[in-house]
Amino acid sequence: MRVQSPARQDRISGPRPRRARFVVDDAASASAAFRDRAWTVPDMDLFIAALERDGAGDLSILRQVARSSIIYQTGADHLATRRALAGFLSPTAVKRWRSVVDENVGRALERLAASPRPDLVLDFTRPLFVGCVRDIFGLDIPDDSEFLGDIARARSFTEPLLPMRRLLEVQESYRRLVGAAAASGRCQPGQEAPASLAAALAGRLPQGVDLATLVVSVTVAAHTAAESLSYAIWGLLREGGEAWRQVTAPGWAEERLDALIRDYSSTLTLYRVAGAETCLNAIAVAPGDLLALDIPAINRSLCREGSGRSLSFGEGARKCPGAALARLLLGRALPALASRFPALALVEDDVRFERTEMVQAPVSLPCTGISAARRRRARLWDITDKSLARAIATDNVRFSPPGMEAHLAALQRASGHDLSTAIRIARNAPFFLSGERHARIRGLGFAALGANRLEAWQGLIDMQIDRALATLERTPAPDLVRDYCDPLFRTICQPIFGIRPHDPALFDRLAPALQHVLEPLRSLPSILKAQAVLENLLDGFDPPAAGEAEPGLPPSLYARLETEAADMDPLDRKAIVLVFYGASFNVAHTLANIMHLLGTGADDRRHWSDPAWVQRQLDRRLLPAGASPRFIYRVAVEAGEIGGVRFAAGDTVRLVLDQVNRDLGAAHLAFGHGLHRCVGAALSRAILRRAIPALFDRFPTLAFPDSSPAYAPNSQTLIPAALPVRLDDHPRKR
Amino acid sequence: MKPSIDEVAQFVRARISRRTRVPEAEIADATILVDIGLESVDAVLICGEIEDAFQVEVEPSVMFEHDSFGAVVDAVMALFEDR
Repeated sequence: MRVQSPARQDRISGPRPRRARFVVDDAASASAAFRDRAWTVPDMDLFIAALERDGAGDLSILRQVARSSIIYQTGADHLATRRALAGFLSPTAVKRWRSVVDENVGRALERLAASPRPDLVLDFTRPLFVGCVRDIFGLDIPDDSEFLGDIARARSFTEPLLPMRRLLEVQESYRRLVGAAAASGRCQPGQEAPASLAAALAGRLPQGVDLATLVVSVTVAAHTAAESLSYAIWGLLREGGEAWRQVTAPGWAEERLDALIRDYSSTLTLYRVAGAETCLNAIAVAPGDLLALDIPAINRSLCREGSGRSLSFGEGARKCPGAALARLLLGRALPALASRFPALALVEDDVRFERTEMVQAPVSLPCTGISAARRRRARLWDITDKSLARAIATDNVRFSPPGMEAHLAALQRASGHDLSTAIRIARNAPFFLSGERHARIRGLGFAALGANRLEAWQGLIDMQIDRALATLERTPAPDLVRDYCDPLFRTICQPIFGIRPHDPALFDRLAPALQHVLEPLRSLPSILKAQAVLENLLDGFDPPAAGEAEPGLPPSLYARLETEAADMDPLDRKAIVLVFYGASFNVAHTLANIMHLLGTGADDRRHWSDPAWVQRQLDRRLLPAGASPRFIYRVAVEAGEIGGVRFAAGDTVRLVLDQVNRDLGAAHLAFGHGLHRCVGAALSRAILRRAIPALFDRFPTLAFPDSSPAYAPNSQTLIPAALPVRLDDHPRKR
Repeated sequence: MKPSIDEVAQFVRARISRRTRVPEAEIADATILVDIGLESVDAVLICGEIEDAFQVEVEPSVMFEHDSFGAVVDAVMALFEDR
């Protein structure tokens, strides 16, 4: 607890005694103050009357609000109004509104699902609030937008020291809201739903309390529940995928809701005024002294104590009477939202908050993960939902890889151009194949590149990493792409695949063109150009001679193909080697991406040189975030539905990996999944898990001067073109 | 010299008609090209013909990024502005 004003003896001067101002930021002091009846609320009626006397004009509506709202009532009026409200808002009474809340949650979910630019505040919490107060309080709300504007302005009446023009705006909003409430007071006989709030309160209010004004003031206060819901959604989504998944667990609301309300309180400050002498933490309090209760700080103190309760709704005689309704709203809306949209994620850059002295809440929460599939074009779908993406990736009956060979063959027939080399590459690329040929090539690939086969290559991998590090250290202006990732890829993959270029410099210069094989719908001139490069590359190395393997090293991929696929066309065997090599460029790009992510992220850099940490995090975080492939393509073999999305035969679906992989952890699709899982996945992991810690072990203070690397133009792969680094002056010697 | 939109539309409509065997009269601005059977091969070849006829580079993906015939013609016209 803090005292913010001067000591008492200094402030007894001048015509008006200066008030002490206390700020309470711990739960024990807050509870003591909430339960001490000497602390009451500021006399708003008196304040408004004083303004009127000073020529502010007619503020009679605001005076009515001050008299009718339980926020400002005191004494017997406050008690009587609370009792009247309890019949409608007590925990027992609120239970009967569960189905009404659920219906409105359902409608708000549909609205969110249908929104072209989904926003969790604009399309979910606000429509839900309007629907609930319409149905539960029995209000006629002809225009949601005008209603919400009036509610927001009316709410600001609780803000201290509003300028006169704002007070007049507040009054106008209250005038409209009260007028509408007085005209509605809906209570439809014959319906099973309980009576409206107005009907429930009629005849039970103390004299001087206006029924319609009270109904409006309760409605305005109830908007805090919608703000709390928005804030809780923001908090849960910020906590990450696991927190969001937990919301759908049975009993989540009973176990976690109070802690959530504690941690994401939209109420910032509650004010009290001493109506009589009292003590607060053994400090004397005089009548008129002011108390500010810092609710987030008080809640944090509860959290530190390990308490599951919160003081977001206050406590004692002035505890928020709508607490049970707010709990019902959050407890029903959050699990329904998380269940309907498990992949929900915020568009962080566009999130907007409003923060005043009294409240804080998001006013815009744009999000992704609403639609499992988005039709990008007439026959192309983007899949961003992880469950749907996995279902498609593993459904080899209804979805097949793009038929590149058939496309190129048709193009050859129609254009008259010889595309035989491009067709040969397509015919030997597993990512364009299905059926028996795919199974054969996949099997041959795994026979050479499976995790168990790679153990024998570990010595080569380690040696090339050491060499690359030594070269890097000697380079005057080091660049991780040019001096580490690319050399590692070449010097490790070429021996493993059995590529011995006649002219290594020429081969290495041309080989990056292999990455464009994946790009869809290339123009005929660019296909012909790429084909010429492919022909050069195929001519650029020979099949391995028998017994060519280095002593102690296993046979290369090419050597295995020569013996295990002797029935294949020799040029097809060579094409397989080239295709696998082209696909393995992703190792270099992924390595660069991951190191840049680490270098510019918030992780403790001491971990980066720890092989065990890298091994643990590789599939959990590093690959999902840093893998270079951007899409996986599949074509619907036949018309049908999957995950609620109807595809026509021939539709192309594109799994958008950066969104699909978010929160998937080790279940990521960076290497695909199922039958078409990347054959080179084990090789990628073998290189990454050594190359990452080795670099940071050798250069513990390595830094990235540019926060954003330059990327090479490629629509399908995230390819860092350059990654300049600063090495430290005294690298760790081996 | 920049061709008129009518010239481009007529040229593209004729090529699409020839490849899909849909009469030109049935290819309106709102016609969705994949709905009349336009395939990737057609896109590659038609774009090549547009390039030859009008000396402007057109990526085949344009034929699918803009679903309707009218939108494709507009997209091709925009390429003349960028030239």
